[in-house]
Amino acid sequence: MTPKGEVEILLVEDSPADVELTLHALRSENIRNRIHVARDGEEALDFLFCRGPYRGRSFDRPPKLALLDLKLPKVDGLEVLRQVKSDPRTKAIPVVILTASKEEKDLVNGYQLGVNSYIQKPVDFHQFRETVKQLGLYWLLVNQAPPPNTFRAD
Amino acid sequence: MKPRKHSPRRKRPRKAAASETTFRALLEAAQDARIYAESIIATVREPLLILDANLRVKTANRSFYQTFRVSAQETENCLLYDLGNRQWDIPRLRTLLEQILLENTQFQDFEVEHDFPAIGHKVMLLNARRIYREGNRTEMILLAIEDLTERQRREELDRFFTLPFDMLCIAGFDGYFKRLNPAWEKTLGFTNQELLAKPYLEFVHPEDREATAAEAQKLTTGVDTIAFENRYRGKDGSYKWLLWNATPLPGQELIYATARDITARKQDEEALQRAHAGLAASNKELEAFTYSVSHDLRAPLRHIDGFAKILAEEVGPRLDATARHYLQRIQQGTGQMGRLVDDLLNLARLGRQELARQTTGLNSLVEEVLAELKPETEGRQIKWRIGQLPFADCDPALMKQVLSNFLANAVKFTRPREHAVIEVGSTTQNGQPVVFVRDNGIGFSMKYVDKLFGVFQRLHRREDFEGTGVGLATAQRILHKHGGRAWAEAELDKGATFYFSLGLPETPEPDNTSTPAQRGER
Repeated sequence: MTPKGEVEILLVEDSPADVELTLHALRSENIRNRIHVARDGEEALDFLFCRGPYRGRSFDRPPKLALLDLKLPKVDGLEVLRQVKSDPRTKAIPVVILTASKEEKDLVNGYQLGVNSYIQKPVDFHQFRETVKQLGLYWLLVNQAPPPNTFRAD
Repeated sequence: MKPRKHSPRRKRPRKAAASETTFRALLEAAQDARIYAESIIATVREPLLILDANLRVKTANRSFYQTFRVSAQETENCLLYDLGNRQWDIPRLRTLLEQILLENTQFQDFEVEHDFPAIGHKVMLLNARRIYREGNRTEMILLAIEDLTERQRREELDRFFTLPFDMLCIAGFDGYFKRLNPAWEKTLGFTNQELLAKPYLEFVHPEDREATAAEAQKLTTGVDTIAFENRYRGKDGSYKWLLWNATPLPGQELIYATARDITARKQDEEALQRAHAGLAASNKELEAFTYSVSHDLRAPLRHIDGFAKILAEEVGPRLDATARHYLQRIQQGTGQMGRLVDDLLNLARLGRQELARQTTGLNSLVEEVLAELKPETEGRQIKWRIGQLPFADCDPALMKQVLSNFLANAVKFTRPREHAVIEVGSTTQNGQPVVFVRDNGIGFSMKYVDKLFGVFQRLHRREDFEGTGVGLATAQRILHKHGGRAWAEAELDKGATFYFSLGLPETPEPDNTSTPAQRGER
């Protein structure tokens, strides 16, 4: 199974309150320790492309899921998505947009860039918690993750 | 005309030989004069008549016969008034000949208009002279008739051409103006001489020259120009927008054209375009605002709700009743605000949403709405009376929102009734179908009817009837977008009726080829 300490979920979220609520929702699922939080788009890209402060990371060990907010400082969520989905080393990483926006143009852009799922954060916390739980369960347990050689540049 | 033979009498036979010579000379001279006069009469381009004192035609010239299409035989020795089926029996001519000419020896330049059966309307300028013949003491009348008809027609044309309204011109296939009316000088400031001196393309705005040349080329092939627009330079350097209509005369290699100065209209159009652009910009701003509302306003709301719930779950059991009540209030507040934000966003989105119209059976929409209202109607006694509703050319998703609003309101405001009755039906007003939703609920006072469709307007206390005060405003906005409207009648505590019309004549029921979704289900 997953080696200890390996990141399973990359949470890209600038709002500390949202980070806390999301972590709270995931806590019961016993995956809290394997979540890495990136606070802006640039940090998310550094993490995913193993550069800058994350140059020690390896493309061979991608997160099993990236939860991506759209409105982010520095580099916005759609740009992060575009870069991830246009690089063979990262494009197989499942990316789920988790955002407050249900603007049609965001949905259209997201899917056109190849997002794996698009979820609007429910205002009601019970619903939010339920949604996040299901997300974690589905992508970490139900879904078959892409095998390592999916991420080789060729 | 036959020369008339006068047989000279010999008055003095004694001096016969000498007289004979003189007489011959005189006779020759007289005949010379006659031939001279007759050839003048014959060659004059104006029609001439020679009448005797009784107004009998003695002779006429070729021009007369040609102009009035009569022959010498039917003319000579006829009374003037009898000529050609009495078509010369012209009252004004009678007056001239019988009265004026009696008092004077001549008249000059009398204009007479007359419709001749054979040759149509003629305008004639008459000149006449009475010639007294000493010899046989008779009179002759010389009547000259100038045909002014053509000239007058030309003058009329000239007058029309110089009317001050539109610009008229005749241009050649060679690219030069040939004739211009005074409106050109008035509009462009160039004299006609200046405009005639250069190819007209030189006055056309450089950006419009290609199109203008192409249009002129089309004219040379016999195609009319209709509503062509280009810019002409004025003397002051400014450009005028001209709207052209033209037709070619290929045989003469000429173009007849009218141009209208539409500069003012163009400027208005440009101003309108700028206003549109401004409007589009502010619409974009509004869109951005809506977007940020949707994102930024929801976030803190979720946080408040989230932490309040965590608090309630994790420490709730340890809190006293008052504290738990406050927590509940916080959650109610966030719930209400969440719905409000959603409703407002929906209302704002309507503004930039295009209508996707299709023929829609309103009955089937009502069915869908009723199914969705199940949670609210469960356990209540509601008698639904749903009549035959029309088909409408509308956006089905939006129309469903309208019906949903009205029906949900009816369900909500009949809640205090043990036996609620909600009727949905249709009628016709001014040839337009009108749909109504009537209930026996708590109604409202017509005093407040003006507030009914305003945003955030509520006519009932929140603790009695929930709601954001956006629903009816949204319904009204949707109906306005369709070209229709909503209105209401009510009596406090008796019930309310909401009406709406789509502002369209009745849509015919679609035929059997339509999809089941479009057909009325009832």
